[in-house]
Amino acid sequence: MRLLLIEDDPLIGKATQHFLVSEGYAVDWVTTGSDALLSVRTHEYATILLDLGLPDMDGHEVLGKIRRSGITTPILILTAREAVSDRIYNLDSGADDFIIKPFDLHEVCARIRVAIRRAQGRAEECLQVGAVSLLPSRRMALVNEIEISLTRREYMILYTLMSGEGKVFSRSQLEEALYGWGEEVESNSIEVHVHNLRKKLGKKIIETVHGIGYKTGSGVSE
Amino acid sequence: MTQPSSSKWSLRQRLTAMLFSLVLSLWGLSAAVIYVQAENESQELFDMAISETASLLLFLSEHELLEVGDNKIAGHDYAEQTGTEHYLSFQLWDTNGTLRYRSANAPNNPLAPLTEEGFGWKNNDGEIIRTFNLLDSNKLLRIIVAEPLVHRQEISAHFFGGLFLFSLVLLPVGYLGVRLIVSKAFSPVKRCVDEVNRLDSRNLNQIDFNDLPQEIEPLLHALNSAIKRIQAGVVREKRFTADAAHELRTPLAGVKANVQLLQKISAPLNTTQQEVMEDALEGVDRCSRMINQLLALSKSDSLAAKLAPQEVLDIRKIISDVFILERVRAEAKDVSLTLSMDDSSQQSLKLESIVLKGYPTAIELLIRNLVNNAITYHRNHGSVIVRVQCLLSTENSCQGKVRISVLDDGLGIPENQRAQIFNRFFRVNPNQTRGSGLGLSICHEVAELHGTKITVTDGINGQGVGFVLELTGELTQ
Repeated sequence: MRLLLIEDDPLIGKATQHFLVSEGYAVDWVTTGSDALLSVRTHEYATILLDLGLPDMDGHEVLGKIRRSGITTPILILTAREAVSDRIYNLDSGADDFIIKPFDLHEVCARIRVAIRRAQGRAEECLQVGAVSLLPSRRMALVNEIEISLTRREYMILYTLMSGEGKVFSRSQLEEALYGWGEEVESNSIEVHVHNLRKKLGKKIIETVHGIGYKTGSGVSE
Repeated sequence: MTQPSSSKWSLRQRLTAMLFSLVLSLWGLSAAVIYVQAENESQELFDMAISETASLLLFLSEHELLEVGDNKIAGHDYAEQTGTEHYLSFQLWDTNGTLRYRSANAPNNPLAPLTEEGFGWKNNDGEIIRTFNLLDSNKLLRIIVAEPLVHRQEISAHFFGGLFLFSLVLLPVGYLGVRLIVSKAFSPVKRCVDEVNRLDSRNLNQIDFNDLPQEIEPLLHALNSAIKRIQAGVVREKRFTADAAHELRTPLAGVKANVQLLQKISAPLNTTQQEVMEDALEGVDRCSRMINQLLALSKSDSLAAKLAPQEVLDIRKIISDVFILERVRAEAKDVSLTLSMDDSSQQSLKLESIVLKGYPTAIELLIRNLVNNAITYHRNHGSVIVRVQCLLSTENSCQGKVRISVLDDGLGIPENQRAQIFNRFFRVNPNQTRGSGLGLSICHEVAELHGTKITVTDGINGQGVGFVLELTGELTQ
């Protein structure tokens, strides 16, 4: 899952980016509104985190431009203004949620999960394919109620595929979801991660669609 | 609003005094002119009267002398004849210098020098008299008619007395009239004063005035533009607070994010490391609580909050919202939260039958601060009761009071510290890390904003502490 973090304060931006990366997300961090608008046109994001006080333009302007260009990606506002009028204004201008500074990063993660879940139209937090269940809130995969240890990238591939509900993801789409800017992608890394996932969770959890990419399988363990 | 001090002069009084003295001097001047004029006229009139009398008497005496042919004129006593006192006296002399006749009130010696004819004055033993000396055409008889000045003085005194009496009546009427006119002229000024007096921090509107005299209009314009500047200042102040909060919260968010990141990437941590990071996070949280409280305080301070219209308060909802927000903290300390509605305490007066007006967010902040304090400064296991009582107002039969008491059975506040607890940054126990010392000060501000006060009492069953807020509202029919 790829996130866009729009935050001009380096103190907050760097720490938030690192924290989210350690949660397994690919995070692109930009500090200006124009960079943000460029990013949303070139990448597909699971959620956008938007700080309102940007040096080149007002956060609301960025919000409006993103929404007017037809992008429905959930947008989470990071704001220091907590007046009810500000909150209402933010929500009405196209934001999905807001967090008041100083925020708790665990809460930010929880709200990102909620935003992703809602965007995918799910009410349940738990994802289930056959005997495999995924608990994003605890970053945990279970097979028949037994916890299986996954690496950060393995977890993220599984999360992406499972939340796609049978949708086919190309290799480059998965790479896009896994690696932020500046992170080096080895040529066969996706194949390696898929191989490892099949080994841990059973062959049928991920199906290969020839010439296109991958999707979740029946998930029945052998 | 300060009343003008007594050392300041009053334009109205000064104008009244000036107008009244003008009226008084004009009146006095005209009275003097009238008096002098009347005096002269009457002098002439009196002189005419005695000269006429003299001619008449002389004619009669001549006639009698011719008829009787005697030297002696019939000696009737003039005074005895009429029986009344007469102010005129007269003497009849012949050319030999013999007194032929005199009125009873005339002396034997000449009333005027026998040689001088016409009008004259004579001082007769301190009594000043007006005389008229007339010689007949045959130059045989001379008549002198005299009139004492006292007589003339009496008459003019009478006239002057009447004038004086009239002016005595006229004086208060004139004064009242002048006052009335001045009051009427000053009524726009008074209305201006009333209008400006109505301005206060809660009601800062432009003064709207029609039919204003051109002397006052510039003053009002100046005042209105001053009000506009103040309003702009209020808006600026509001924006400044928001900006300041933003500026403070952003670095705080940075610190918090970095500590949380450190916590995450350096796991597993040993106990000391964990504690240090928890402390750092607690510091950040305290700071952010303080910012929130400061913001709330500045909002209740600022005129901006007061410019907003008051709304109808739903006390029941406000308290239940506070309970929802505070439940987790209360459960963590095993403190029970209870709402006790004492509707039945007075003649089935219901909470719903008292319409309370105010600022719901501010009242919620107040009650939440009190409940939060009660939980925070409570030893574990206990209770916090919010009691709502409805009372009839003792001062106004159309009004009711809602008494909200937040009571606990916790540590309490020593009697000698109760007076200070509403001061900013005062803390009952300064060694305690928690608390900004602003919570109760905010409560106090909010209460003042609603024109009331918070009183401190004992808590539940004489333990702990209680805070009581009374709000007054109209009764529904």
